[in-house]
Amino acid sequence: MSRVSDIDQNDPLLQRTRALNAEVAPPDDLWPGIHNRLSELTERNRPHWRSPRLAIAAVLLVSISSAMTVWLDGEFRNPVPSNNADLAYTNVALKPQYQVMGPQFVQARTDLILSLEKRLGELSPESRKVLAESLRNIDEAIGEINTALEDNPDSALLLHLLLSTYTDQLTLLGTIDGMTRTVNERTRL
Amino acid sequence: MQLVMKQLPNPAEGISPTDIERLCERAKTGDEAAFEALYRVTVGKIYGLCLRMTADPSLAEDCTQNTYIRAWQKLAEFRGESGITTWLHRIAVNEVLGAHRREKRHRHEQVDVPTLIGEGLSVDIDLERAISALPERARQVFVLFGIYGYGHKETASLLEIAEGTSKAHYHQARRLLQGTLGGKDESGE
Repeated sequence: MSRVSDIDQNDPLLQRTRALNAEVAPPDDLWPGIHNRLSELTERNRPHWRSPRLAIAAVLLVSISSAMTVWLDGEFRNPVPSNNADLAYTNVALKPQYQVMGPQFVQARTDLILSLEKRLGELSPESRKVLAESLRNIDEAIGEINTALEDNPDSALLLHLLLSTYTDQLTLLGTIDGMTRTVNERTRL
Repeated sequence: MQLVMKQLPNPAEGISPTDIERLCERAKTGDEAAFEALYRVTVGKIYGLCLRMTADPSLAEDCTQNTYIRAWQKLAEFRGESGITTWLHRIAVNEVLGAHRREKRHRHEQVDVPTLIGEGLSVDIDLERAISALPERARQVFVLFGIYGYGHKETASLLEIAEGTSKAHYHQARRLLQGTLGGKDESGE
């Protein structure tokens, strides 16, 4: 702020005005009201997690893809022949929640799961269990995000999270499927 | 007439510009306690400006609160070229102008502003009362120019008017004040 230069410093009215105190204390403390509104703003901008479990699931989703890839890579290097391919993952494969992603997504996902289930017999029962559990966790997380979206349909964050979760899931399924193919080919050779 | 009431402690006392800079930096990281400290240091000047510009204590409180909410949201944009008070003043003036635009119906209630100027100040009641009775735009210009020391260029920029218009409003305000205070000694004694 530059001080005024275009004034008559000898103007008694201006001198009198300048003598007024620039600071005036409000009659009440305004901070509590400001604090409440800041809290509302923070709350509004925060993801509306329906439950802590959803938050945990979301965090898990970020790491699950890479973790599964690393784990499965090791697993497929030493495949354990088995005839027991009942992954039981097909049960959750066609839940209505996936319809929102469009028919192409649903078809791609179904194809991958069917292809994957044919090959998972290469894994040990213990490994299949871990894999099935991880995939089910992703499904549950997707379910939680969808439920949270019912409460906050305009939440850009939730929509983004849902979309990236679907994409991650598809990528993971594709990665696992690709790895099993590679291992099978390696085994045949 | 000049009234001297009991002095309130000035929260800005003992706080250096460096301290304020540090508070700003901390507040920028989302530290609400630091932002509250900034509020405590600056609220007198912000509420004083809002009260004198609106001549309405209730509207002044709203504008003051909104100023700090807006400041919190825009804090990242504060680069420190101007002081924090100048930056807050600009936001406060925008809030006052916005409030007046929203409330065109708002003819300020005949509240005796000087009695609400608050304790702890040396109050020139006659002058405060005369300023609060000025027409809206003339009052805003006079407050910014006369009390808060902005030049006509800055006053015009803050109020989004031409510099010549600011000068015209100032001279109108001055003429009206002299008319109101004319019979009295302008020194206030």
